[in-house]
Amino acid sequence: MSKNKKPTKWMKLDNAALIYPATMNRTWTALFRLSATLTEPIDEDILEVAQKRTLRRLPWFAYKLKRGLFWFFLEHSDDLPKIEEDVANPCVRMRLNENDGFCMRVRYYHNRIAVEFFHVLTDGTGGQVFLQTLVAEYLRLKYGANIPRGEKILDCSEEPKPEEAEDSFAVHSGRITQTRKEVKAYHIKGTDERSGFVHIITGSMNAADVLAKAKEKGVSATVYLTAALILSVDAIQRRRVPNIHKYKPVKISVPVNLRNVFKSKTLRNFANYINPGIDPRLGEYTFDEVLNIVHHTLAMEVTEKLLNVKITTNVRSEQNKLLRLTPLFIKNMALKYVYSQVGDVLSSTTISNLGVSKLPEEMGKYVRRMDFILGPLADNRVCCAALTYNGRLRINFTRTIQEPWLEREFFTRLVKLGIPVKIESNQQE
Amino acid sequence: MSYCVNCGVELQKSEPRCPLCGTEVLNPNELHEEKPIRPYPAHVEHLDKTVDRRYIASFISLLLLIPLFTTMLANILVSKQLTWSYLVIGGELVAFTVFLLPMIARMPKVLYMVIDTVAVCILLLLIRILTQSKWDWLLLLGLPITVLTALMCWFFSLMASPKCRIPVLIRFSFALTCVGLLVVAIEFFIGLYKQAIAWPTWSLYVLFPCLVLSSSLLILNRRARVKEEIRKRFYF
Repeated sequence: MSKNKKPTKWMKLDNAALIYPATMNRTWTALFRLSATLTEPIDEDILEVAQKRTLRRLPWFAYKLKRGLFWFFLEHSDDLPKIEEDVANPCVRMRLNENDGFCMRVRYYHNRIAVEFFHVLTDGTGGQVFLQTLVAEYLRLKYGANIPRGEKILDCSEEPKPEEAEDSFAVHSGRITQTRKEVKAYHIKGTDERSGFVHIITGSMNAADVLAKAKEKGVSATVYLTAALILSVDAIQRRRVPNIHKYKPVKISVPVNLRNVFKSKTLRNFANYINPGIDPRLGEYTFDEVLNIVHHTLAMEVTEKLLNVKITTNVRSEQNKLLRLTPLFIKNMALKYVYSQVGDVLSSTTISNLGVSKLPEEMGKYVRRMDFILGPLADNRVCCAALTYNGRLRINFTRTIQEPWLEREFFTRLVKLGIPVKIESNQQE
Repeated sequence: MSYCVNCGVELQKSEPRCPLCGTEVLNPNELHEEKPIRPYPAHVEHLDKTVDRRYIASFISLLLLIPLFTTMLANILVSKQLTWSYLVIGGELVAFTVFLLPMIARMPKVLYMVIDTVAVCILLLLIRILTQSKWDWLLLLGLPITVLTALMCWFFSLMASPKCRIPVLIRFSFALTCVGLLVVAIEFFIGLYKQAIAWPTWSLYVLFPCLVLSSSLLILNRRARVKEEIRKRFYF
């Protein structure tokens, strides 16, 4: 290529993203949402300028999903996604033709700025960087706030860094692979929402309360919440399945941020999953037993070596000759089948904890609250996501069935454990 | 502040009833207070009705049975045996394996090409049974062309191999040449069937454009921008 020619701005999907376009359909897209609630109502015009500046610094989010002959790919667009008003059912499927082909959308409602991401672009950590940079830029434009920039809140006057768009899975894959085969887990079934409505129930609590309870047991907050969730799903199965011999394992998918284990500055997907769980056929479990199981499963599996094996297995599948040779429309069917065998089916639900979100004081005084919501999953009808900000831990449950069994079981369990919970939802009047 | 008497959780003021159990919230101290802003707007984004492709494909497969049984029945009533309805059986078999099977059956996808080839061979065999002709057109014409076409598909997949070090445009150039040669081979088999093998004539009308296009691709291969665009669209 001659030197004066601008390189074509397109990129391959990262290893984790490959599955999402194949499994998406008319009613479901793998989405997640991060939002920040400010102290004053949002100004749409300023938000649009802030988005423009943020996308100039983070062009990786202005990519459109395109269909190649063998794979999907992402192509950069100089256009901007439209700023939209929020809706009652967040994370409802993203139709790419409605969204000008973009894989993210910025929505606002009163004081809240929310960004919904299609998982082909990024994971929770990358999404957090985008949201925080967007909000910082908005605050700078609206109030002239002088917010210090760093790794989480990027300086929009700087140029994009190529390492932010790295496919870290390919970089950190090794040689040894392992089977993905696992026992299938119990799934909560209920009555379908006829209109495809996505229910959101948010439980907020003092992060200090949860941490104190977790420390009492010698585990982390994520382990504590996961154990409570396992016992909640277990209780539902025991109520709904009369025959003990038909009980299935209860497993919870816990995403692991691989940036904490491997050196990577990518803002694209770089996470893996661990599925700790119990086998209810063996009898009833106490909370301490489940805590012990979850704690040790995570300790055993969240190691550089074992995660490397998992990454390698996925990267090797991508490099499979037969798969690469297969035209996309056939490949999509194959990937759908693979996902139906080793995707959601292995876990009863998901709990994604993004941890504590800390903002600099100059920014924090304008931001009242932050939330993280997972979009509905393909097979599991209920899932949840957690984020701590300003001392409040907010757990958002996403549900596509009418019955709030899991939420009720989980939050009342926390109340019984001595953690006061405050509930809000998107229920219609 | 209000608590759900059933669940023991505190409820935001915006909640008219407990989202966990549906119990209505009534706080006598807050009866006249202004309604707070709901956490989400009232506007609901509705989903389109879903199209279950598997269901539709299964339904079409069932519908295909109607002309099948009707023609078989008519055939038996008129001719006292199955004759021309063989064509319908074979035709529907090919249509089913090519268009409907991929939507219905979940099997290793590589088998589809093999199954399609076998279905076409069965159709040819049925035509032979119907026409009660000699075996030679099937053996010298039908089957070789079907197998050659299947082999060409296999060659295409080899060209698409990631291990293949040949640049993409050159691979397409090879594929076009391959198509041209297939047509020449078809003319050869026709000649063989007619027992009059001669120098290719009409197939050259296909071969030459293929060769010209193939050469153009080789020249295009030297243009970096075009190569980049093609690499983007066709990467595997």
